[in-house]
Amino acid sequence: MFGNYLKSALRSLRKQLGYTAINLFGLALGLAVSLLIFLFVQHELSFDTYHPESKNTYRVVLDARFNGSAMLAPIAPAPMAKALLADYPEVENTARVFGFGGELMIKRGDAAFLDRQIMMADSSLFDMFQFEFLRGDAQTALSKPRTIVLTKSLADKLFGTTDPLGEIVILGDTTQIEVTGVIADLPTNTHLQFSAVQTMLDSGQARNDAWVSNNFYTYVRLQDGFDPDELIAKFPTMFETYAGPQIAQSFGMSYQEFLASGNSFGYTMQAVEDIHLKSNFDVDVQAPGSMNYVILFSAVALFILVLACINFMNLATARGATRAREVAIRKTAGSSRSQLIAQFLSEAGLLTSLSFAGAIGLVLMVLPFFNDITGLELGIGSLLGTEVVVSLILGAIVVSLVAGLYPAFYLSSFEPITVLKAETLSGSTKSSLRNFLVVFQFSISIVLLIGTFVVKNQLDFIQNKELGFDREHILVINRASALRAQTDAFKEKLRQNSNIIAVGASSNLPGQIHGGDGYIPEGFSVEDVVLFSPLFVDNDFVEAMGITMAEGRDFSADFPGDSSSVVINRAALNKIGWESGVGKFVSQFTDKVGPDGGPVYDQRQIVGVIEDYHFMSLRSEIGGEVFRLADTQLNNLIVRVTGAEMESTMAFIRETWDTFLPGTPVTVTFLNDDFGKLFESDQRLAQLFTGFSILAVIIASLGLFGLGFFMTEQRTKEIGIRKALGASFSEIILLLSKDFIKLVLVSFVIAVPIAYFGMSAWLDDFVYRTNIGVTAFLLAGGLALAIAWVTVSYQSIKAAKQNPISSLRHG
Amino acid sequence: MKEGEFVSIMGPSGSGKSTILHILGMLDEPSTGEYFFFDQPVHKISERKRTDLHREYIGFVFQAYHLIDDLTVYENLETPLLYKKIKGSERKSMVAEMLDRFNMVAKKDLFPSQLSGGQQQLVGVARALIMQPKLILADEPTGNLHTGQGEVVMDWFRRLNKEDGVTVIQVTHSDHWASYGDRVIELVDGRVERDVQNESHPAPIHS
Repeated sequence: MFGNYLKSALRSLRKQLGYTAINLFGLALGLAVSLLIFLFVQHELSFDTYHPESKNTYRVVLDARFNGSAMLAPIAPAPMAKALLADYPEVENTARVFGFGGELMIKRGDAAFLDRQIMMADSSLFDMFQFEFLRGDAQTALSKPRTIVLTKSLADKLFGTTDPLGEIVILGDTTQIEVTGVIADLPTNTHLQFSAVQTMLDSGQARNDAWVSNNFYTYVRLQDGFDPDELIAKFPTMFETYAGPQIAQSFGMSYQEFLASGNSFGYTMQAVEDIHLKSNFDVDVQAPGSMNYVILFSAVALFILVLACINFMNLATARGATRAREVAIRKTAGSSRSQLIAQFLSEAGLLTSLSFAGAIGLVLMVLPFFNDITGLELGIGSLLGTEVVVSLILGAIVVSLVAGLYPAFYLSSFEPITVLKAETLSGSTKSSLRNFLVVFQFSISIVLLIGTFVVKNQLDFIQNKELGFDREHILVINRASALRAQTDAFKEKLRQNSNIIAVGASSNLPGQIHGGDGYIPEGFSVEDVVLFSPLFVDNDFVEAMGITMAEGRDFSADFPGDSSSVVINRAALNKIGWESGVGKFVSQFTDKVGPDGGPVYDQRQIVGVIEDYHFMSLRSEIGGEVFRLADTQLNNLIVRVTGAEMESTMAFIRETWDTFLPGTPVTVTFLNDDFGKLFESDQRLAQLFTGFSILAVIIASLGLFGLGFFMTEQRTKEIGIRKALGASFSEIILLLSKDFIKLVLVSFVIAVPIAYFGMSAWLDDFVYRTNIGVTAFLLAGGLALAIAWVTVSYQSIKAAKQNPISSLRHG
Repeated sequence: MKEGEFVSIMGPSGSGKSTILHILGMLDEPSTGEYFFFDQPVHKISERKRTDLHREYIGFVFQAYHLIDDLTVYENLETPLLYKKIKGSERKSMVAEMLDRFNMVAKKDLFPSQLSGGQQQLVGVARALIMQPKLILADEPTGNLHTGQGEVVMDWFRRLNKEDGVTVIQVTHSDHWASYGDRVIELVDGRVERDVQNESHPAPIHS
């Protein structure tokens, strides 16, 4: 029986190659996209779930309130991990990780590399999470000072074929450190990415007993099944016990008073498995993923799959006219309806299986590009996992049923009598369901198109926004602190180049994480602390950045007193509520105690106010910032150039560096590029969005093309009659395309509000955003219309050109 | 109609010949009246039951042959057997027998489009016969055929009627083809205008 179905199905598919190709290609395309998104979503959802104890592992999160400013970050004070382990039996183990966030130089002989991902951790890290040790022992690897564990790829870079175990590398400038282990490279689905991890025993800060300074990612493993909320409930008591006396000392008030004035240092915990998708802290080991994107992409995958299934249904029912005779004959030969349904379903199953094969082929073809865009490392192996294979088989069954059931019922419903009696087989040219499905397809396509245009607009907006500094002409030399005492000489040397306008230095760069310090403005009480981001600069920073002064003056070597002055930005001035700031004072807490036992404040005079510039991502509003002069801690040299002869200028900078620090690598980047990296995930979104909407439009067009083909075929006789009656070429074209064009217009009307609200919600995430504007809508609508028209008119023109007699004769 | 008859239905276009045939073949329902097939009230029974009756007892032959284009001669003949869930080996022998009877063994792997009209109609007849129906309904079976080809088809009908006792009801325009029947019914505007026993073929004896 099945063989008979299959045979007639295969032959009929072969005979209508065009139809088969459209159907197969459309479905394969839809499936390929869905499959890619499935892999992406699966990867996102798998983060940190592979550790044996991941279900019981948590990370401490600081949830503090400091004079009205909330601080939420996954960091904890250094002594907390030890206290947790000592005081609470339900805590099985703890581990701290410290990431300094900047580049560190790691060196062995001549091989020197700058690496951003060298971290420090307690030896217990290897018990907390699963790592594959290739060399060395997890138990003891970090249990002595001056030890480091490298990942395979860093070890290979440094050592080549030599066995690194027991060898010495140089970390930073001079620290000699022993390699005590090599672990396999970390999988992409962990939030805790590092290239090497140095023992925490080397960190002085880690031994500090200060409970008010939060710097360490702190992981906690609880007894199996222990409710984390029970432990969280004990945190306030723990904190008061340990931190209370320290707070009394530095703020000059008791812990109760500290709380009463609206401040708090609270802690919670988050499940390690939730870190990637369910948290978004300003500070984190690595930029998190986004549950929203996972949901958005899943929705897109579903929609595209539905689009493809709709094509399938539409084409299958539109083809009804050609299949009707077969149905009638089979019925008169004794077929029951259910047997026919089985036949059409097996046909759908056959097509779906072929499409799945095609989809897997397509996925393998585009996987490299997809990996490029998403930053994933998917391979053929990713397609062979049990989960994927099971999903594929289930998917094939579901898609066959979804796409096949309606046509099966529709086609099997033909009454043999009507079909066999009829002179010509006129399947219905107007099916309201079919129209609905076409509208549905085009609505989705237009929404995606509008989305694409809006995302692109916003990214352009970000790219071209005035940031308050000379974004196009600034080069950054990272790790400039390595120059130490030679810094001034180096700056002086650079300035001799005629293409270099100014050279300054700063502790942080725009877009990097800026912490927050509490300041008490002059005339304010201790409780009215305001949080400003500190930035350490040199005398030339403002000039090098091209920042405009609003009031007063920049730091200058002519005023030796500037080392205890500050320059603030306009946002800080506004937050304090001052009209003018120059000459006024702001104070900071210190950890010193005065002779009377009271706190000592560090008071600084404001010498200048700068116009606001974007030192944070465009997602957040410009906050208050305070500049202080510093000699050390200035990691970045800011070089403002004219823009002429860039290559030779870059070469000049590198050569100069080499003369100062021979054999030390240097990274010179464009500040604009670094700033742009903040929007990398949005860029990816834009790329993916573009890809998906193009595919959606292609799939919808394929469907329309197929529909147009069958419609035109069915109306051949009508066209013949109309031409015989004198209808012109263009009238025939209009007649045939009119209906489809109407459908696209209806789709547009439906798509506009959906896209408007969806994209407004996305844009609301940006404090600095473009308007949605009419252009995106008109472009998307116009594009959809044009594509639909071209698609349909190919058929129409062919039909309209036909000699009327040829279609009438065969009636 | 009685079992074992060979009836020709004649009449001008629109007189209702084909409709009668379709009602008899359970492809259509009568607007009024009752239809008993053996003892079954066809106008009352469910579609499933009708399909069963149809499958069991009735073979159809069409003017336009109505073979499935995408299946070979062999497969076309096999199709009704598949629906009747007949086993593979039995199916093979039944198709082989039919091919043999109609001298079409050499053509079994050809597609309908590769056959002449007469040959296609023979396949149509063979397909109707393969299930050994009690009733053959033929809607202008010779309408698209040359006289010579028509004779072959009609001879088959007569042989089946006489030798196997199969009831044959055919619709035709032509007196010549009608004369093959034992009884000729003439319809005009859905009424029976005339119903005559054919002299040369006395009515068969019924059991």
